[in-house]
Amino acid sequence: MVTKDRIYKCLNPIGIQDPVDLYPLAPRLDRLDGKTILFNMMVNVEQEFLTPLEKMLEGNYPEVNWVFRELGPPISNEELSNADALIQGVAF
Amino acid sequence: MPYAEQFEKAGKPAVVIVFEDQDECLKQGALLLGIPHVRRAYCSRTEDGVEDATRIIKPLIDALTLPLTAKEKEGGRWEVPDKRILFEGTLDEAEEFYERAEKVPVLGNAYISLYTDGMAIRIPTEERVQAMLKGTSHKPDELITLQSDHTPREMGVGGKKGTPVRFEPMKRIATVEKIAINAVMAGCKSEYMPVLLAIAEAGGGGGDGRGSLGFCVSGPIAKEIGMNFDVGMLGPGNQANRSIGRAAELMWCNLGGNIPKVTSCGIMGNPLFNCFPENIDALPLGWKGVNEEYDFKKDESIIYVLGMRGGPPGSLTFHSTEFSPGRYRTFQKSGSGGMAKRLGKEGVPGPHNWLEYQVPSLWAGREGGYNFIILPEMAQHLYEAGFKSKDEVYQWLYESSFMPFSEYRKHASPDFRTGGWRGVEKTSGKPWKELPDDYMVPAVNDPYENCIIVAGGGEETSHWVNGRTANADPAYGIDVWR
Repeated sequence: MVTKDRIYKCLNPIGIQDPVDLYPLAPRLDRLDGKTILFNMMVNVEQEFLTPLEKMLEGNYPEVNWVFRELGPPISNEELSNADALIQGVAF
Repeated sequence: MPYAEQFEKAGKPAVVIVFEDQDECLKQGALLLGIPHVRRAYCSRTEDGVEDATRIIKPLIDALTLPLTAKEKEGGRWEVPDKRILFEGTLDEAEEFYERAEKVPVLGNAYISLYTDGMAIRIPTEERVQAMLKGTSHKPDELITLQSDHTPREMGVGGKKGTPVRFEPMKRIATVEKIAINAVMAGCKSEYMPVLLAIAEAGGGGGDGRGSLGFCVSGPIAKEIGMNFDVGMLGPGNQANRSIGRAAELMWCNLGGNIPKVTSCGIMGNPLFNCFPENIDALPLGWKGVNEEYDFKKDESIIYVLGMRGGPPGSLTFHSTEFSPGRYRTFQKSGSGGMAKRLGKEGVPGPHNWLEYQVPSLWAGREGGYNFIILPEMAQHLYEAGFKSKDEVYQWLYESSFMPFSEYRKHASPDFRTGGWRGVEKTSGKPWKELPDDYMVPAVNDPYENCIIVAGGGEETSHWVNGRTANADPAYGIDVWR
């Protein structure tokens, strides 16, 4: 029987969240000269932005070894070990 | 995002380009991957591409080179304790507690409820949840896991039998009791529990988190629990249809952690709120139920999940027939009127294949199949017009979707899906770029991207939503959860 003053234990509908270990960010590049930067990019989406961006990065930073690759296939251990940094876009 | 995770955890800097309005979602995704401080640079939805690219270069380089802040150097552990008892108090106090909402700045400070779908709920007291649990033989502390092998869905649940179900977007897990709690809140009866548990096994209401899903019950349990098969089955009034649909959305909110524009970047939401039943008793002779299409027996019940990607991404889009019921009846009875003129059936009494009237609009600006929700009367007309099985309708729809390549090239999604027309076109075996303009290509990849659900009643109007993926398995057994 429900009474106005009765105290009820009410249960939690929220799902159970696994704990997550949080990492600090990796140290940043100390210079750009001679570095290899992987640009993992969408293909045929946002190309009015990504295509000129690719050219501008190469033109403005010729000292960088730019590697432009298609977003989708996993990045191999070899690609990871050869690269110094990553740009990824556009994420959605 | 997993690429950024890979780099950062390997000690190499990363930056992600994102639209600013999706930044919160990206941050939540980064948190789940353990890289909450990942740096971002923002591009524009509307700015000229060259200007946008010019503007973003400095932020990109800065993100890779500027020294870390104290906060960015922090590690740690993110934990959200699970308290079984959320609140103790009177029912009035509990209502006030559960119906709280908070302002969400990225939604223009709109209020989003902490524990509900925005409406008043039935308080999940221990007693009420215990009563709800009588609807299943599964133990309250049993984890929701896949009850059979499932092909992984695009960004959704999949894996071997026994794999824990992770509710999107926050990838939480849940017990049978958690489902019962949300069921109480939604106003469900205990006999709905097997259906609700099958919906939970399918990942609840949230799909991959970006857009919610629709649910159809195919099999005898629909009648057992008193679902409405007829007029109004998608509207208010029937407790089973309405509350099961509501419970699925509560699962998305509470189990999945959906907060619009914060944890999930969807579009406008789901127009298909109710769970609805297939009317297996009204199937034309020889037509299989959706349960049988997925190799369940006629007397076995399933949840069939709609919105599992047979077409463009995003929320379910609801379409309906484009003719008035009166003109439809005239067309079928005597072959008169505009529909008959269009289809060359003037003066020819039906039944006729009325789907043919819809074909020009089905793929005018879209690709992929549809989930058709067809009235029994209209399904029977298709049968009498010559389709002796659903498979024959699917094949016909597939064949009807062919269009000249010159036309297909003017569609939006194939540009992206083919990676700029790279690769080989399936039906010809030739590279896309070598196809002549008049080569006919299908807008539907496979006849089984279409699905017919016979349901509803009343005036002669049928509906459809996004179709299915041919080799996926969006069917989840209900009986295993009894």
